[in-house]
Amino acid sequence: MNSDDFESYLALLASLLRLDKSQQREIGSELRTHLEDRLEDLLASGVPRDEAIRRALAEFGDAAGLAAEFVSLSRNRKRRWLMRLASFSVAAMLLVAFGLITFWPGSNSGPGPAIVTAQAPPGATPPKPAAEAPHESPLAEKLNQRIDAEFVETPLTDVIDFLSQTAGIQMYVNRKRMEDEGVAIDSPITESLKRVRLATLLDLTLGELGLVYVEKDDFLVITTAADADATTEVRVYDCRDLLTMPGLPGEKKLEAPLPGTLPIVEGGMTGPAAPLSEHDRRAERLMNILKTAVDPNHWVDAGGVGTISEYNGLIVVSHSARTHAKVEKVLDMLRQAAGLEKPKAGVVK
Amino acid sequence: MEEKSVTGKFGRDLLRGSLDLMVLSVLAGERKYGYLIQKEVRAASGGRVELPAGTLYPLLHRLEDERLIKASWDDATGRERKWYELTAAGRKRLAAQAQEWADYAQCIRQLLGAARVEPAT
Repeated sequence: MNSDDFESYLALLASLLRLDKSQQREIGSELRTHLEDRLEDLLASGVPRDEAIRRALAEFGDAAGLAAEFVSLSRNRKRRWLMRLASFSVAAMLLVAFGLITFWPGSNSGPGPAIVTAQAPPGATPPKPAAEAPHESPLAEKLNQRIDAEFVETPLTDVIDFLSQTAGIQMYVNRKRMEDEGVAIDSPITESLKRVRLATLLDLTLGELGLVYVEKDDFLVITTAADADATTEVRVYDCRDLLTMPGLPGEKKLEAPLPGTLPIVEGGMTGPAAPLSEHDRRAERLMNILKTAVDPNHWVDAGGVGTISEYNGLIVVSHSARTHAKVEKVLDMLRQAAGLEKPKAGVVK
Repeated sequence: MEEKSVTGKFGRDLLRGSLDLMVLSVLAGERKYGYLIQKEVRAASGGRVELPAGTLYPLLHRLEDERLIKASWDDATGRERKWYELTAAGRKRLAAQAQEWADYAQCIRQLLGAARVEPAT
């Protein structure tokens, strides 16, 4: 066995296998015997030598792909030890366990669960607003859990799989968009953080690659920042509580004889200087706060895509899902600071 | 990831879940080395399942890692080879998985029967 092709294939494979030396040798010689066996069989069946070599190698697949399989295998081995859930509830443990079980398909409890899973998405999703399932931890809560992350040159796709299983969150990866923008799905990730919030970890890990995650129903969509920003959606925020809360003691007197001046509204097109009610002033202020605090460059007046308007205490925002998430957060912070309860149905998506 | 990794006459998704079981069952008899396992899977499936080396070896190493099979090197056949055999845990897993697959197939058959779905060929 001394064809050049053969040897160079094996040499390539060996160099691609970033494993320790003994593993490399073992895998190398195991694969070599396989190739030799195959070649002998082909020769014995009358295939000419050149053709036999070509076929044996072709059947083997490309060295890079094969090497990647082995490397990720050995990395998984390490990962299993390195990554642990720092704060977990019984529920989270069950989710992990369930994730592992589903890896073994047609699994332990046989047909039962398979059927349940198949039926769950169509049946269970629509009645969600009724809040029928209080035991199910919402996405935000899952994103808040803290985990230890120790990734060493781990392919992105493995990182996502791992986080998805650990956190019990479904994650959809928009491979098409990533490919279009030249982000490799197996980009190596190196990250070492202790007790980090999952949301932060995702921000950091994905951010390095120009990727973002967007919450969609009860799962996450992972895509490029450009893609996420290009798709806008309209949401309505009920801000009546924020707009009617008692103001500062000194501010009260403004309410009654408001003069016809327009103190705050820049760009307000109120031509004949219609007096602004206290409500309008507050609404205008709140919208300005949102526009300055959240992605200031992404609103229409700054050349972006987002719009914001108000009707009777309801603030209507058309923006990317990412910006919506931040708007929601700022409103929450305002409410928290003002000691207001978070409204039951604060956001209509 | 690539289409070529498991070829044969079954859908890829259908196969993915059962590759471990196939390999374990081929090893139920005497110990075997990779090339032999590949050939037996092909023969036992009537040529309908082809396990390329790029799929087979990572799979074997994973099963070894999970202590379902164990490996040893020797040159009994005149060539130094890595031989695989089932461990006790592997045997138990094989039996359990075989039972599950039988149940599963039975269940699917019943469902298809109830829905009066006839195979296309």
